[in-house]
Amino acid sequence: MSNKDVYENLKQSLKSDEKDFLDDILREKRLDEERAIIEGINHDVDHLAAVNFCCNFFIPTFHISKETGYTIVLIEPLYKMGIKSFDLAIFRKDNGSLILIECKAAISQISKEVDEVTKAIKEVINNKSILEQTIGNKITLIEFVLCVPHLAAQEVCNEIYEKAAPIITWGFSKLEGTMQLIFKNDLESEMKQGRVHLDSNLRQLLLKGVKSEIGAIYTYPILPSSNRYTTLIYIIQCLFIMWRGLEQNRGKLGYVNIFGILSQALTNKTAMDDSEIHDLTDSLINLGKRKEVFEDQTPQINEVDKKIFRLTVNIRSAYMCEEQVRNKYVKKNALEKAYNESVLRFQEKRGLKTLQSFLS
Amino acid sequence: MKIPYRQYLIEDFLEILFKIEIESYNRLKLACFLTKFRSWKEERKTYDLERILKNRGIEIENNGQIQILHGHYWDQQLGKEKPAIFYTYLDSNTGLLFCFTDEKSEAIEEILGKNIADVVEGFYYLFIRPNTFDLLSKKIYEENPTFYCNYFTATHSPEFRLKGATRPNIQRTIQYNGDDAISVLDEVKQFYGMIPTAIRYVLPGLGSYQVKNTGIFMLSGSNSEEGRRYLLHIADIVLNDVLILKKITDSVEYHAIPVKTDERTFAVPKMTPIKISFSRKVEFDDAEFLVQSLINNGYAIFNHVIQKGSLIMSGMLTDSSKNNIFTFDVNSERILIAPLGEPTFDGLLRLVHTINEKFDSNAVCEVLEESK
Repeated sequence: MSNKDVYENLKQSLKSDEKDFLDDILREKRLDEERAIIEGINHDVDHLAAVNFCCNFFIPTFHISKETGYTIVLIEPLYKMGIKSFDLAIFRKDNGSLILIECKAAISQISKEVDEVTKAIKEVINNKSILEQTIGNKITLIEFVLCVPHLAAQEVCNEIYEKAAPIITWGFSKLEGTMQLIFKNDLESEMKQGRVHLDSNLRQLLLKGVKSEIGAIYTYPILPSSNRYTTLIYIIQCLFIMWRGLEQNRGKLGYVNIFGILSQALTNKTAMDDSEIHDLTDSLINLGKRKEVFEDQTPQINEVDKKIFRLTVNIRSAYMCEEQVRNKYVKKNALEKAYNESVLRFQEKRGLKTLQSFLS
Repeated sequence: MKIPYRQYLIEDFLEILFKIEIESYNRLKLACFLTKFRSWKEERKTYDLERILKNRGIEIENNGQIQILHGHYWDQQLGKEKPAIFYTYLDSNTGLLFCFTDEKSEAIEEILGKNIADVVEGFYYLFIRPNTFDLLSKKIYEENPTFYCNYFTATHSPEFRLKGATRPNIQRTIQYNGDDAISVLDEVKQFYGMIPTAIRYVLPGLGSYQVKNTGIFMLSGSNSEEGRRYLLHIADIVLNDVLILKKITDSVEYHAIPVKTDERTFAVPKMTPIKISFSRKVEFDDAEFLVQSLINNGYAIFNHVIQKGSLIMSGMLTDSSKNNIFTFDVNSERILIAPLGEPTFDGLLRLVHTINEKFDSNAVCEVLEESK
């Protein structure tokens, strides 16, 4: 039974003043949930921008990459290990040295963040062979970076020092377009502790601070762990490119289109393989159907990869399209959650015990 | 205007065009379009210029280097559909399509503008930016100091940064007739933050030349050969300036760089964005105007982030008319724009023009140099 059904069952069993009370709770909860979902999307996009700002320094042919030999190879390199930490892998092939970077667009609980990265480091060290397979190379050295907004960098660095964690701190400023290595105490000893880079070229450049060439242009428009809305809206907007010159197809899409868009954004750029991209495609199609953004045009066909869907939003204006998808996503998600929350809240206020009592 | 059918070289065609009789109530016009095509037929491609036009109901008659286009448009004045004929020449070096006609401007605007340049990839207006109008006026003055303007149209959007002193939040358009048009245009620029969309230059002894920002040049008040030649000269001044901008947009790249390890090859996307430098420092509050001016012109901004305080904004935007996606990064001094996928010059030009016409007319578009 869905949350909505539970809610409706409860409502039917109530007197009219209590029905109004329950509706009021639903309204309030729905607004709270909408705010929370929008905030979640915004956090996700903030993170996406921070990851891109950081990775753009290491694009081959750009200054730092040319000077140091370190080049971006993968985003979310630990995807296969199921480890959420570390957004980027920067690799120097000639000596097999790898840098894993965790980017934070904002940092609130410094101690917790440092602990999480420290925990992830242990797992990486224990599973080095999986990482070597992912990178396709023997790894001789791994360094770990926590990349945070410049204003918080010194505090983060202090915390890392206090906890004696082997983490290097980078501070970035999108405003100044810069990235800098931050350390505390003696350089030589901090190098030994894994809190300053061993590579002298990279160390010197980052100690001086490096200047961004292309800001936070989205070299990687989505990440494997991106919020589903961020990914869904990216796919839908990509369809506008797909419809270029194919006016008769406007508004229509199939499994292969979504898979193609995801594949182009993620294959050989992340640790995801084809089967994982197929899973993500399935999950996004289901999401689109649930949020009534995709309408199944071929109900007689069972195989999802042969189905044709129609976008149920404005397909002439990309702006209206985005706005309508956002509304559907936020409102539907919020309502689903709010049904459940309101029943619980009502129960709490009225001193009722179990959800089951409304079902009988 | 009826030009005899035969196999022409462009030079021969122009000689005839300069001399041919045109009905007194018709005006000779030259409309220029930028295209990505270097020939009419490209056998190896799934579509070419000829197929694009034919798919949109235009018949094409081959006359050597001149292709005669037959289309139909809705004549507002007569309230009925009318046929129209354009004599066109595709320059294989630049991809410029020159369209000569004495049909009404609305015929060009509907048949080649609304139905093609607005929506077809690889085909776009020779859009004349506000600064190019300034350049044209200066050049005409140098060559003909007795010139004056007797007509202009201009617009102002509330999002436009050069607001002028008077009620900057009002959306306005002006159509002005009067021999002091050039002075009045300066005044409305200053006081009302307006930018020109068409200007008519009167060159005593030669003719009147109306130039529209969509790249349509019209001659009136003259039937002389010299007057007609000058129409081409005016177009040429504009062309050179627009082609500089097109060259910048042509430098934009998107490709994947292969990065190899012992057993794997990764694909690192590499983009070369264009940089549009604002004429004045853009503050945080202006970001909303920039976003609004883009939305009002058919763009959607999505998955974007605006940092509070000083202006820092990055994200993606989709152009529903030209079906492109771009990624951008804005700070108080400039906006960087790169296509996510195969770049199209017309998509980039449309974006530059939107920023120039709706947000900052003095913003300068440059190639982003990589640091050494």
